[in-house]
Amino acid sequence: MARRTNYIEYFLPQVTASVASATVRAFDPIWIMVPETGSRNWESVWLEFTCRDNNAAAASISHFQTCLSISNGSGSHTVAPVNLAVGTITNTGEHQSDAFACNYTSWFNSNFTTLISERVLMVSAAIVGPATSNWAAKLCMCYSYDDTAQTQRIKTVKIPLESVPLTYGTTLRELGGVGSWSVPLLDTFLPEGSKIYRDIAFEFFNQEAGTGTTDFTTRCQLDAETAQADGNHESALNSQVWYKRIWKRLGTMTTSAPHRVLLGASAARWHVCGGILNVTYEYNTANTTQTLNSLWMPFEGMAGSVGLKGSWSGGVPSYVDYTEKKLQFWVQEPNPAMVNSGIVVHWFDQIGISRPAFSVNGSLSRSYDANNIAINWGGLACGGRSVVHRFDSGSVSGSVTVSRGLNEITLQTQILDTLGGTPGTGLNFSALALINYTSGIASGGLGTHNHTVCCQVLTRSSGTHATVQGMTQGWDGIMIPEPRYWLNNLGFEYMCTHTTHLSASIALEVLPQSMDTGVSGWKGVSCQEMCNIVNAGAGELSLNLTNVAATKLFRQHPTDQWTYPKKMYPTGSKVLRIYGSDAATPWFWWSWGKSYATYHSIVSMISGSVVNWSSGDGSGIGVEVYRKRDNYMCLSMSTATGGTFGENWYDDTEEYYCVAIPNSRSMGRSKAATPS
Amino acid sequence: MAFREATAEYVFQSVSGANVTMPTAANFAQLAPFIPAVPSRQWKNVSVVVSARHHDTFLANGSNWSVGVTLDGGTREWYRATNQYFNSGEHFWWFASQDLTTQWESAWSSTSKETGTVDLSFSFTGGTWGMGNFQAKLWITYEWDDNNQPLSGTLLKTVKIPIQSKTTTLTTTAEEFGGAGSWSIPVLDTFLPESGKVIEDAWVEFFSSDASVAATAFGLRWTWNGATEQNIVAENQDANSSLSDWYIIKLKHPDGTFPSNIPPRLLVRGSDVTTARYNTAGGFLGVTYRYSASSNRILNSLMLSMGEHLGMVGGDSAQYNRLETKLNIQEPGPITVKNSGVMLSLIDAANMTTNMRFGSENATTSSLQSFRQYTITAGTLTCGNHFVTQRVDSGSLAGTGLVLDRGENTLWVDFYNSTTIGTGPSAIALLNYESSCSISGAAAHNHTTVWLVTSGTTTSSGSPSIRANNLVKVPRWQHPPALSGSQWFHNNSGLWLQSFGFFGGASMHIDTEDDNLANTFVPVGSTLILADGENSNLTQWYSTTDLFWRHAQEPFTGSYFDPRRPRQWKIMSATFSWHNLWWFQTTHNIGYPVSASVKRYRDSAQGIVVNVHRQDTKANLYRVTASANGAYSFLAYDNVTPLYAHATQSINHVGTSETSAPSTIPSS
Repeated sequence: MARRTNYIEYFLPQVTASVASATVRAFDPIWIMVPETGSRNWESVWLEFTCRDNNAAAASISHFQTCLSISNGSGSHTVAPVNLAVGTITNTGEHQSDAFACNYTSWFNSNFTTLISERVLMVSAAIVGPATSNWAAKLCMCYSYDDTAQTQRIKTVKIPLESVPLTYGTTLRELGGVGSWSVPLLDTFLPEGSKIYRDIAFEFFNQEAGTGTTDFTTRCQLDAETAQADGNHESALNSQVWYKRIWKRLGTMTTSAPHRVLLGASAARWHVCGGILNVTYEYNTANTTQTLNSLWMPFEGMAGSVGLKGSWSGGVPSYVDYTEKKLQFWVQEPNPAMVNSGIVVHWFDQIGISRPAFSVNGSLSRSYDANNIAINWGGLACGGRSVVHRFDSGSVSGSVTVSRGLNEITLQTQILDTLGGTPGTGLNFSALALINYTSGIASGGLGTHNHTVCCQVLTRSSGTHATVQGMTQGWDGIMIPEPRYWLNNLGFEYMCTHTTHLSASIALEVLPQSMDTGVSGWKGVSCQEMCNIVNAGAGELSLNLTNVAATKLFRQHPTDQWTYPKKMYPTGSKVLRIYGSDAATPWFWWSWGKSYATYHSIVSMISGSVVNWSSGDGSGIGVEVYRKRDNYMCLSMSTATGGTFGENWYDDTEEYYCVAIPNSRSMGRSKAATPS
Repeated sequence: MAFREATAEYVFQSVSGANVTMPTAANFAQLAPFIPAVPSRQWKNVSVVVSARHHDTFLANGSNWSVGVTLDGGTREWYRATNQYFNSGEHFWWFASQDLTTQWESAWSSTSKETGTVDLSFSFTGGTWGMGNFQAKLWITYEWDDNNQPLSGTLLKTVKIPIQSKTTTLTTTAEEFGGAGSWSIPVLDTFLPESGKVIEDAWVEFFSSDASVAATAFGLRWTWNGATEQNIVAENQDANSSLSDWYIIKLKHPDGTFPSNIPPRLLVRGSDVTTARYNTAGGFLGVTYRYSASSNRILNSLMLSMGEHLGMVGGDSAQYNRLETKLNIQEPGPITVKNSGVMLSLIDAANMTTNMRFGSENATTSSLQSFRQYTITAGTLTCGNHFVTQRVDSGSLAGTGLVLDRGENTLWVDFYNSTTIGTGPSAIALLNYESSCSISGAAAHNHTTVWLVTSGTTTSSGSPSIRANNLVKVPRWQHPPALSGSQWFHNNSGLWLQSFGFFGGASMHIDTEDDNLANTFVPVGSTLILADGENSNLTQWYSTTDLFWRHAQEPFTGSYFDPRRPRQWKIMSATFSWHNLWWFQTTHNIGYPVSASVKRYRDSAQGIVVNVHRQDTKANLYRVTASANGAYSFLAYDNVTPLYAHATQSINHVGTSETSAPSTIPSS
């Protein structure tokens, strides 16, 4: 038995209709398949739900509930207890988007047992408050399983769809630019054998743009087909909310050809929007010689200020600078080759013009704005902003590659101002990398490859809130069943519903527990502004997503101990705390929090023999292993009889050397070599 | 050449008896600082900080402040800032800092000059309101070649001796500052172990916060060593504002009196109202004195950044916050801990019960205090942060927390509030220990220097405005740290950020330039803040220790930034705010030349790379190349922690030395 982890997503078809307050509405049912049944344990299962209000008048939400059930397609449904969240989310006189997450982990362990590989999923929901439309939901499923039990597998890959730096209106625009063919030919893009597509769904998300009180719809189109509209975007209050559209195309999109993706709207109210194509598919490891490794990793760097290009006054550009975020990850699979990859960037701003530019690895840059004040981001922001930027060689501005060993991506972020007036003021930039690369199969099998597992880590808060508010909740740590692992990245995503008062901020912290010997006290992960700079008195209800890495707080492998300050184990219980501060009340609600953990279990052996020892049988001699690149000490072990030693390590691309220390006056050092 | 640096502090007699109606300037009594003369002396960073409290019923927005400085009776130099201050209906403290280095260089161009005069004025325009309790301090950072002994054979230093906070508010009954019977102010004649001492200046810096609940004026009163009680002018409280307090009580008056040979006592109390007003009053005694360069025993006085925490304080004894730093001591023993403490800054609009302890460990011993509890009472409207000062030496009421020995020492402070409340925590440590004098000279000992980074104000030439989008891009340091010599070990550094702004719930962020990526900034620190939504003062201390080169020969320049490089900083808070920013660093200049050789090399050893590691952490500290005969040498900064060396000539020719600590004597 070799226990592994996996994470997949299933998308529900968007409910575009308007749903009245306190009315239960069901999503169309979907099939969910999870072929890994061997010793499967559900580690985290939850439903993520977003919607937009569709009410001419502003209304506060007081209740949200979901109901979930499964059946075998012909018999009765097994129904989960109603998941009810009570607590008023106070409206601010504007339209709003809302986000909720409901946890079903224990219910799945009781009802989607190891005997089951597929079920029909039905989800319904109800909201007490405004009428809502454009419900978007997905089921997020993280589980562990026995890798030796069977060869049938399933995975979800995320393919970035690049934003267009223009406004979408009645003339639809192709994502990535004309002729980009953003959707690859999936049958060959996904190299595994015996594929069965189980879900194909697009996620598009950004703040609505422009101004106006005329209702509108967004439109999506593949190639030359007829554009498909979503439900109504009520605009009586002229508010620009963060909006997410799910466009499910399983069974209605050919996988044997690439596709162009075009976006538009019935008015110029959708701007610079990008998205993610999510493909969930089964394959058989026995028929697979190539694979697509799809990793999702938040960047390092706390949310803070952003680089500015432009003037402070008078319209004369006075400096050019950037804010930097970095991402490091190790690749060990054979013959890696990067394919469609990029970043999803979220930030927050209340000013009309916010024209971000991204530079990757110092040279690959692109800015995202129509550079036209007439079609700016809107006058009254009621949510964060989002851009998807690709940087692989098939993209407009990129040629980033991936290679075996250490890879580093440096992201430089900048706000441009070419309008001669006030410069942009973006806050709280955070970035999630979507890295896709094909490779051969590691000798330990596909289960040892780099992969990302997500778990829900914070449940929604409810009730009324004080000016300093938040929650402290236990966290089980990330699930890594393998005895040996290399943690490439550990980060968090949190979605907040908040009111954008002047000067408001949010902080996320982790508290180590007794197993983390030598580490004490709360450890900060992120601290960010959530404020309304320009419209200081407006304070609008907003949705905002943040992704932030906390990798440096955690050990990267089980015996990682030669670092200062000491680090926590990524596994094992911890405590998480998220708090907001604002002078106004109430202002801050939680929507969801989840962890991203990317790791591999590919090991190589570092072994050898100590020779010429002075006494004894050669056993018990201390041996230390160092990475030559930076003389970082990786391993410490003792020799066996005859002076032999050996231990597994997590990289075979770098040179390492060994130092044998029989006593304080006798030392020996090996030549440097790569592990075999 | 043996470059050394020092920062001397001198305080002005507070203008406390007058309420000056702006824009009439408040004029300070003339100050006459002494700086030892030495042929190679250079001024590196000279600055003044002036503070004054709004003292009027009338509240209006200000538009300019002006600092006037006259050196040696010459031409008055006026420094003006034109950024506008907005009141929030509350009283306020205003802080103005100004770089004086250029003016100082001109007036003190002669390296034989030891004394001069400084006249200082301050005014604020934009309204005709009263301001009172003016106070000011000079920071004078200079460099000299210690191989050229000072002309007078005299060195100068400033030491800071912490004074324990009271656990509650001061009452209206006078009580000993630091606690009854604590004798917080030692007998300086014996406390300062050096010979040839002349005390040039002595003062107390009083850190507290108001707990005002009524529109009734009140003030601080103190009795110094049995003399007549003195006071600041009772501060106008028509607006009923609870401010963050920083008072300077100058103890060495122009008449030269200072009782250094008896245990002096400083009694403090609140005045004018029956209800206590000053929260957890503590602070430190500052002493600037000259001493003989040939003294046998030395008091080493350091201000270390403990760093900041980005989130909340709290919420129980099992869920505390910890700030940690390291200190490497290389002075000759015996090392004797003297009065030392830690100062915590935190902010919240509500009552707080704050618990704090200090711990330390080194290769031979460790110690940890018990938590000591402080009650911080919120006023009607909180307008600034709170301070708590806790002694950590054996004289502390929380038990001994500080043990020091030669080599590496780890220091930490733990704190929590009894409920999860309290934001923006950061801390500094004020450490004092006595040692013998190094063969490298007393000036090579661990010492802390202070550098003004920015006065945070707008000049009239259109350079970055603080208020524009609430993001300050600090211009490149006009007088950046020099560290001119090639022999220094960077023990600790941090930023002292003194801000004024509308910190309702804004967070604060500090970025700095990435040395290796042009025009690109990386995060230094962030803190979450919650205060009443009033324009108010906020003091925060950010750590920069891990950002910078560990020593003058840092081999990993791609991983650490060069502290000598003129650099820019960014300060961001999503609120209108004004900032003063200082950088302070603790270094020593005690180095141990190590010479060794690579054996059994093939052909020539020329160019063989030798990496030197610490035995305990395996950290790679030094990197040198061998000469043709295998000889190599490097300068170690620690002769306590064992090291070993790896030599690599080719893939098949490598070797490792045995482990030992440098045994050579320090270089001069």
